[in-house]
Amino acid sequence: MNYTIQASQRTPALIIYLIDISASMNMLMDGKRRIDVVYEALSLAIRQMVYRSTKGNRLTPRYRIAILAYSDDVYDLLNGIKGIDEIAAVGSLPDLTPKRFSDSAKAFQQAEKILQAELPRMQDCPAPLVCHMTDGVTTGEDPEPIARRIMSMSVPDGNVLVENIFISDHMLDQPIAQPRRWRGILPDTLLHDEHAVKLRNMSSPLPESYRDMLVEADYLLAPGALMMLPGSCAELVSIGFQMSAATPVRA
Amino acid sequence: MKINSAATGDMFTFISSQAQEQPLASHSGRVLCRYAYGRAMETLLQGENGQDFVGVQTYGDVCNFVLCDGVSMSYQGDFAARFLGNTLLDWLDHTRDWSSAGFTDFMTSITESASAQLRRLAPPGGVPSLLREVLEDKQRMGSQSMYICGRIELPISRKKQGRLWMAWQGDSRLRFWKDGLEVSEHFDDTFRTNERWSTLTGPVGGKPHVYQTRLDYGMPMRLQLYTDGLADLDPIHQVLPDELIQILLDAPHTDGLQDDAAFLELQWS
Repeated sequence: MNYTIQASQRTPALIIYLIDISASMNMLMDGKRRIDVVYEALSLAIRQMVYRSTKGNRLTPRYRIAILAYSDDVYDLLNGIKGIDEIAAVGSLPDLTPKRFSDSAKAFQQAEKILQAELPRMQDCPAPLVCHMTDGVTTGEDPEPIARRIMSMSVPDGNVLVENIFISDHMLDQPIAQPRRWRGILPDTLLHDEHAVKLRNMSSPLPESYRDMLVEADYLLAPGALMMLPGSCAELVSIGFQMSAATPVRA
Repeated sequence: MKINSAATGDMFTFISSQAQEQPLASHSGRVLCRYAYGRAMETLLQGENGQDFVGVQTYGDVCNFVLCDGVSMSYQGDFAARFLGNTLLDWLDHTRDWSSAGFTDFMTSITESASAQLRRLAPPGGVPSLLREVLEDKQRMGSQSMYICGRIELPISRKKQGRLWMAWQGDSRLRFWKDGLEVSEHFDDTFRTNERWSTLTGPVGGKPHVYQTRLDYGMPMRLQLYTDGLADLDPIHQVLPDELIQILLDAPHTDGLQDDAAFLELQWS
């Protein structure tokens, strides 16, 4: 239970992305629509996985990915779980088009179903990760009980990890001036937003093995930090997606 | 340098091929060598090169050895391991400057030739554009390998003191026994995953670690070097029979090796 199993062809990591595509994702951040910032960050994370899966000239399928976009419904953008090699063969991710509402509970429910089906075959694999990106209050049921159930699911490597990227300018006391020097959100960090507090309750502690990878990439998240990022700028959104791909792999 | 094994009179050479397995084998001379090479199962199934390298040469009272572990996250880690392994074996045979500074300078001086060769190893055509972009990025950043290398000059009847010289960077294992007692703690804290050699910049993560000691006539000694594909050897202190080492190389408990593995053991007295 220490999140040290390396992602490999025989023991691939499973990452499920839950992407909020509610209407507010059309709002601007750093001069771009939020949805475009997210698309770029997700594409960068995919590129990072390709980088980390390449041995010689070959792309080994060390990662398996599902992308669920949600509004008032859930849209399975990859039509199931796809290997990183299959995604690289296509070359680009499906478009993310904002719709109306934001029913994150439905998305977490679908992630739970995927995990229930996959976990029996993943006993030798790294603990799966659910990476949830949202910019606002959910319009459906409370997702927290479902997220809690997901966080209690486990494989020998550890419990399923849940990460939250919350695009918001108002959840912290002060803006984060230097994302690379930022210590992260801790269990006692003061949060000025009820929804941010809820998302924190739904966020796993950052495993040391993930933190090591991020430190290697020059991010100084503190021991005990949670897998929660305030997406107040494009760089923080990007860190959040990089965190999701920080499963240990053989260097 | 040729890739093969050969024994002629008092001379013996083994250089691993990265394209095939070498079951555990041994050569008995003044230095008893046991050596082996295996590829990770997923590499073997794809028919690709392993990214480790091991080479040993003995002649008379001298033994030169190299073990490399190419960094798979770098561009063509097998290239860095092979280039560095062959280059170091040649250097060990010819150098007269055994100082740390001289070795560090040498490790930097070979980057030009390595980079020139690496530039000729272009990513293959016909791969998806995203993979090609990533491979081109990696090529610009160079190929990397961890390494351990060394030279044993055995004491002889007319020269009662010999010498052991070794250098390394990375997290490959280097274990040392004197008179049956493991004294590997000499090297504690010097096997660091972030240290390696790069075709682009030479030593990465710090300067090479260099160790030198006197060898006394009649003192039984054993050196064991292996890459992390054989990490199951870590808790074992006694001399293992060949067949047990072969079981670790076959790794039936994981349906084959999960990582490439190179092994070299040298014993003398």
